[in-house]
Amino acid sequence: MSERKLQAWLAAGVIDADTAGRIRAWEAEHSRPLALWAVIGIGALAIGLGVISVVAANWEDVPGMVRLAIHFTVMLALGGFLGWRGEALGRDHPWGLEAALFVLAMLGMAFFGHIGQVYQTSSPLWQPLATWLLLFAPLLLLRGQSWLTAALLFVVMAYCVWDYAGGLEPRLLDDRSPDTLVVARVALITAAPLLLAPLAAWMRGRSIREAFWKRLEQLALAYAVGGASLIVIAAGLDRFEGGIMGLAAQSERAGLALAAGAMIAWARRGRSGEATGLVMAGAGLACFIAYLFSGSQIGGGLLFMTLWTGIAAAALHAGWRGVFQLAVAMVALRLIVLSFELASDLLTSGFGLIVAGLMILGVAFVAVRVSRAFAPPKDDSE
Amino acid sequence: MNRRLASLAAIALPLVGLAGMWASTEQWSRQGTDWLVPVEGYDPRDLLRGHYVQFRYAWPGAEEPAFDGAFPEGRGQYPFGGCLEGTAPELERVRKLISEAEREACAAYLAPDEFGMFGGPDLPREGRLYVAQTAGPELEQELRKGEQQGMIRVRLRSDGTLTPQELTFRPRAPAPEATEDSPAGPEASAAPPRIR
Repeated sequence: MSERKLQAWLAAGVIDADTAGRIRAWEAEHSRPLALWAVIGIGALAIGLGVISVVAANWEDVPGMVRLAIHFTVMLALGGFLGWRGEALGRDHPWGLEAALFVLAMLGMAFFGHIGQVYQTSSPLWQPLATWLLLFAPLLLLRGQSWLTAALLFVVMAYCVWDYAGGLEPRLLDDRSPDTLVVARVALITAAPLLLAPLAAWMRGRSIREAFWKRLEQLALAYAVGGASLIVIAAGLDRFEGGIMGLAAQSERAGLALAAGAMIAWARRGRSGEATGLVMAGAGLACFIAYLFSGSQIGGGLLFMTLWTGIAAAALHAGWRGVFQLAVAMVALRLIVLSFELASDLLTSGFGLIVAGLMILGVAFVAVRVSRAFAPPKDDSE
Repeated sequence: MNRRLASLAAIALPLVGLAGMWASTEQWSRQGTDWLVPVEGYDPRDLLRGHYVQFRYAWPGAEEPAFDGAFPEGRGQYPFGGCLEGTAPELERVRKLISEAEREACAAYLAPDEFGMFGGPDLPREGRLYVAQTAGPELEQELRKGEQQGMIRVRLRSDGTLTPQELTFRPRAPAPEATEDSPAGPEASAAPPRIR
């Protein structure tokens, strides 16, 4: 606590001398020996870096088996520490536990690559990632504390399903023989990360690790909304023929998102849960409607704005300030892009440019006004 | 107590799983027969950059058809894979297998890659060998010194899968035809540098 700030507050009459005295006393009592900690920390860091660089410099000369053994021993030690002290660590220093979990999970992921290097094996990336998910997801779901592990879990899952889908691409893009079963499987698997949202929504009210489940739910919702937005944008560019953009795949996405939305609203009663469920369901419906409108520039644009207007309405309902502002910005951006699309030949003239510029300013002005006037008050319980 | 047990089990699962994977890979890596296969680099200058060497197999008797812009049906296709002929590790030629029965009869069966350059199943054409970064310059010099033929020692398993083991060099045979028919010359053992 800076004494200068206290003086300033005193002078401004924000606090009185009594309060200032109590703040000083409290700060003195709770002050931490930061300098000492910093010295200890720097020392530990230096030793750690030294050990790493000594090992790294000779890494190539170490036989593969020994390298793997070292790698495995480190994981074993960290796992043992988590098993022994994890409970207390989670209680006293949740971030310490979070960091330890993250490091263990990353060491586990690196182990796959390490084995591949030593034994000269190779496989499509989704295979080790899927194995990693099988092995580490239970641990992260049971012990994850905050956004770090939630994001790790979700990003790996999303990457895994898309790498799998990418490996099948020759069959997906083949117009002559779109394999119905492969398309159905890919649509299902790439939409599967959505299902983490209802699980997280259900756990949010029942777990002490609220931060972790909240982040997981948000990530799954963002995945759904982001995916739906991309599909809607694509619908404005080209007609969807078949394959992973076809009617069957879009229906599958819509059905899964509707089910997930209903489950969220059921699992987490209240305005926030309702809004999340509605956004999830709306994202799914947007995929389905995108198929019907695909190939129409205006249809795609309107659908995009409808989706994000719906999200803005849901944000109003639940009182999410940031989401509301983002939704308004997205609608405004799409409106600006749409004006360019509709008046592309106008842009070649000076007059057209002036009109377009005025339009951009107008949209931005209205968006800022709407965002200011209607945004719910700041509250971090999204 | 149940919570603690579940937590411990969740910590044990990845460790046990990774240990099991390591053990099974170790066991898997010991099976199979070794063969020497001539290889070409993508580009002699790029061959030895980084942590691994990338190369193309030059299967004698089953060379890659040149790509001329067309994908004719059945071209460069090995739906049943190939059969390595010769006395391991000396590879004489690769015979194209044309039926399930032929595959059963083949002693050294080489499985095809599902998607080859021509869109259909083809013999494995590309490979990758992890090497120590420090080994790169030595290999590069060896390549530049003269007319050296890169040879990859691969381990072929009964299921037809292939794992590169090490990269060696031997003097190139005088004519390209001779390389194809008999890559094994008496000079093959003339102290080639071995890189694992």
